[in-house]
Amino acid sequence: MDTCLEKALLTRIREGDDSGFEALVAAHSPRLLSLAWRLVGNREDAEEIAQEAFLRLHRGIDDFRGDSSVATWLYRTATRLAIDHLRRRKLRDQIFFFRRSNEEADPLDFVPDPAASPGERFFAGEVRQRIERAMQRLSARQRVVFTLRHHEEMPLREIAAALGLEEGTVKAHLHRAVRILRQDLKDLREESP
Amino acid sequence: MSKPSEDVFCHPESLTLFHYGELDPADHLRLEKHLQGCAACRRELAQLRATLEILPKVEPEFSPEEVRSFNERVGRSLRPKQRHFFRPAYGWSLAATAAVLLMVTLHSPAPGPREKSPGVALRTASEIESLPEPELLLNMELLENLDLLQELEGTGISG
Repeated sequence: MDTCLEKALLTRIREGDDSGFEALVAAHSPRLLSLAWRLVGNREDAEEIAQEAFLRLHRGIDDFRGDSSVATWLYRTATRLAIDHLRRRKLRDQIFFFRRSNEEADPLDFVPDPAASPGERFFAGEVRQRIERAMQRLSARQRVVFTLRHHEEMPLREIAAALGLEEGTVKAHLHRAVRILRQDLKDLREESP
Repeated sequence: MSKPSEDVFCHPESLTLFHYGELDPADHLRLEKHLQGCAACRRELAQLRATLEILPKVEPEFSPEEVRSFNERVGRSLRPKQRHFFRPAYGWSLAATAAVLLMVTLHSPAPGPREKSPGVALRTASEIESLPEPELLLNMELLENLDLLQELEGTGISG
């Protein structure tokens, strides 16, 4: 979004114009939803994370100084929310189900999602299950760093800034994520043409 | 045998950073040169890339309708909900009811033993009924009433 337009929208929102915020949501939601979907791996949680990021922006709009663009602020917030969400999910799975650690697939995972889009259906099936299971083995930070670098093609320097980490730490997370994925998906690689 | 400076590159982490273009330009060039003479690293890099290529990069699809519906939901969540039901007066009456319930619970005597019926099934049922209500259950009820009061306080309708 154009910087001038963004500033004008921010002014309108601060003056209490809700339609200004709706315009901001409309401009950023497609990419924010996609990012959240990649980070957490499912649509419902992605929508919750994106919504929470927008609500936080709205609540703090008076304090938003504009040091970074709204997009950067939203992606950074969504990324941090995703890390919290992934940590909670991992802990919950470990405590209540022991399913992830036993590496047993939930039979429901193989039932096609009737609400799935064509893109999702394309990746449905065993390969997708394997990849998602491998991704679930990563720590929250490893997953987020890998997703931001591999899928979002965000430079490590920017990832480090977004997560408030040293660049060296981010490099280590990326390397460990890649090592785990290589280990878990080794046979898929050998089977692929 | 490789020179010591080149051995640094025979490390998977360097190859990961090389793949993603995250080495600084000088190291990138050095690793490129190293790869020309190191078959093990070339093989390692090829395997690394083969794995990463499996991972989908396709944009997750949210249809325009889904995005629109999401945007509307965000818009709705910004507007404060009207709380006609939970008015302060209503909150006070709820609190008063809870207090009366508490008093009744605390002052009602525990039921005494009853006469046993002749039938086996009936006798069993009446025995269960005639058991004095355990103190724990009474306390649970008390706690529930306290929880209700705390909830009322939390929603800001008790004051």
